[in-house]
Amino acid sequence: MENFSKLICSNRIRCFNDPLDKNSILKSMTELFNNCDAVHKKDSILPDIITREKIISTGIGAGIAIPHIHKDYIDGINVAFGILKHGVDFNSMDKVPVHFVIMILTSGQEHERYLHVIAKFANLLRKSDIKQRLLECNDVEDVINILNIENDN
Amino acid sequence: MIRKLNLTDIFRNRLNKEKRNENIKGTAIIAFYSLIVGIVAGFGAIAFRYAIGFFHNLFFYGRISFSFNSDEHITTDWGWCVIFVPVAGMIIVNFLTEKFAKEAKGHGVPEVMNAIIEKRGVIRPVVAFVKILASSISIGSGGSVGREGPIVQIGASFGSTLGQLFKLKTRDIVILVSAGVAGGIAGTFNAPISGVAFAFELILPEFSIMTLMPLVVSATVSTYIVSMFLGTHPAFIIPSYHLVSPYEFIFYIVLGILSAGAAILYIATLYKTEDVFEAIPISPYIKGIIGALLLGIIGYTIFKITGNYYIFGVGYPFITDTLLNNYHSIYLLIALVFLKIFSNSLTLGAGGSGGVFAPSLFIGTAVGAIVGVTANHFFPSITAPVSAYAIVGMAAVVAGTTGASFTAVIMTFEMTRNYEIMLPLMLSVVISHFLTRLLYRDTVYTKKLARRGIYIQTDKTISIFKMTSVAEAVRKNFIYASSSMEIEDVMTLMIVNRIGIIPVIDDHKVKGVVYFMDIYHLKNNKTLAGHITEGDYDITSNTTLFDAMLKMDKNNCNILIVKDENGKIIGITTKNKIIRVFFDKRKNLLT
Repeated sequence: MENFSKLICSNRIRCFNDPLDKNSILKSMTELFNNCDAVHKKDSILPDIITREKIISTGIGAGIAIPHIHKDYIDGINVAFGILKHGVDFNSMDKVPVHFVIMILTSGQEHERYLHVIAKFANLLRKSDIKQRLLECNDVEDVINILNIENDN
Repeated sequence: MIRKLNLTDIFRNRLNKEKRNENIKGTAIIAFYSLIVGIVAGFGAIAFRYAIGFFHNLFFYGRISFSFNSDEHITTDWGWCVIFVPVAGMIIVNFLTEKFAKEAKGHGVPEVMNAIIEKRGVIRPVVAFVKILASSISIGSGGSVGREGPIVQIGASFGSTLGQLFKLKTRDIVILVSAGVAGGIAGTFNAPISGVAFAFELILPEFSIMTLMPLVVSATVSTYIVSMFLGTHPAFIIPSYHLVSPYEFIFYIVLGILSAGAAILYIATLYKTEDVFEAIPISPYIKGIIGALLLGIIGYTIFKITGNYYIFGVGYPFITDTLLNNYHSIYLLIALVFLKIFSNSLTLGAGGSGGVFAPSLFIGTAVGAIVGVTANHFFPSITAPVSAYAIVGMAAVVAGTTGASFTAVIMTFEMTRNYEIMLPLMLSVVISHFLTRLLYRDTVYTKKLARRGIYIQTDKTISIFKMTSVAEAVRKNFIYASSSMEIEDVMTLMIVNRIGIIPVIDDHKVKGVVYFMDIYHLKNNKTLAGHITEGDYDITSNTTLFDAMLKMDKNNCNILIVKDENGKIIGITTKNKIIRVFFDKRKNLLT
């Protein structure tokens, strides 16, 4: 399975220290792809993500949301990771506020890798101590350190 | 309506019939083995009693003879030297147990329980021989212990040995061990029903005709053999008694309460004394000498005061005297309760070998007599003789100490064959048993094992699976999918929640389940519809766990959606959840 360092770079990670609503979070997260060459229609990301959210919430429970789209204007698989100090209502199945957002943009041909990415984050975030340490991070460097340690483990 | 049988049905019926025949055949074979176990248990009981007689004569009278009446008081000429009789016996007993079989130390029954729970019924053959020798020397030299515990271990040891010899299955070995116990108790008390009751109540974890028949066979054969050699009279000759006045029930309730107090005091003292002896950092032989010397001094002191060695040996002379209304002063009765408890604890703490059943009978007789003497003193016109209270006290203390209420009642009934005394007796027995368990968790048998971290379920409760409803095993927060969801979203849900199967629910209606293995290869943007495994996956919350497991087995799945009586979905239940509930409930029953 790929390392976090290969999956995600520091400018795609963001710690949200202030309380925000769901749409603001999604908007901020899509902005993390502004300098991403693999996304050819950057203005389409947010509307597509919101359209996808309207079908069914991507808040899959346990404080995790995985907003995602599979579009032709995207190359490969691109991941952004957001940590929300203040939980946000994503209308999740278990009604638990979301603290971790994993945004995934793929070309639609990355089925296997997409599942691997989800599994990778699922393994990370099922550990309550890791979740707690991530929530205590104040900057991206701290988050990367934790991800690297988990890679080594 | 006549249903056509297909080939599968015919094959299944044949298989069931074959299995049933196999079970019946198996039971018949075990019953045959039990016959042998019963014969050996009977001869074991005889040999044990002769051995006690031999050592009793040797230690107290210096003669070689097997002739011995355990109902008669000791009349030795040793004078103050009698103090050293228990010491001599204890040295030999400690040597035997330390050298050959440490399991033969103590009171026997816990070791048999442990063998069944922890060792698949396996008991070393040497235990029977060492136990006969060690216990008969212990009792014969004045050790204040009973002969029932040893005979239980002796019978069980032979049952186990036979099972091991014929390479029987664990369940069959356990049945033979229990048959040995039933045979031992039946032979020693001349009471076959009590033998069966004792084995069922304290030893055997299962109750069915498969287990009943071997026990009955062993108990009957053993009783018959013992009666051929030692006569048909029961352990105690008890006159017939009846309830004189309904007011007497009040005295019997008081007796039940006092019996519980005596039982708790007995169990607590026994194990405290063991602790004290264990804490002394000296050789077991020296400990034995110290304990036995104290026992000798107590025994001789009582003799000097009363003219009888009440606390030496099994204590039957005192019981027989009291049951024949040859009762003593109330002060002596009170003193004997405490002295017997202490003497028995000393004997076992110092490394002696022998049972706690007869001491319970002794203590119960004394407690009953105390209540009887008091009631007769203040209300002579409405009270039965003192001995009636002694009988009831005997059963009540046995129930409190051993937790074997049913055996206590049956045994008294078998020995008295008196129906009327059963009414107050049962009342006192259940009060004593209830209060003892309320205030003191363990019985005299289970405490020994509980201290080693082994918890035994002696209550024959209804199967947890059959008495617990699914409502107690519902997971209310659960993940589910709807048939309109995209496959990829469902997979995401399953991966993140690490589940291999997910229920599909549309508008509060159960559609079926989806297995990860069925969808993981499918491409995204397709909905679940068409990939759902349909079936009977819902269950109402008042169904038993047993039926839930049956349904899971039938559906070959480990999840069911739980609905309330109105058909509203309230959660799911899984095999894991049911197993967790089972262990939680079991733990609560045991602790």
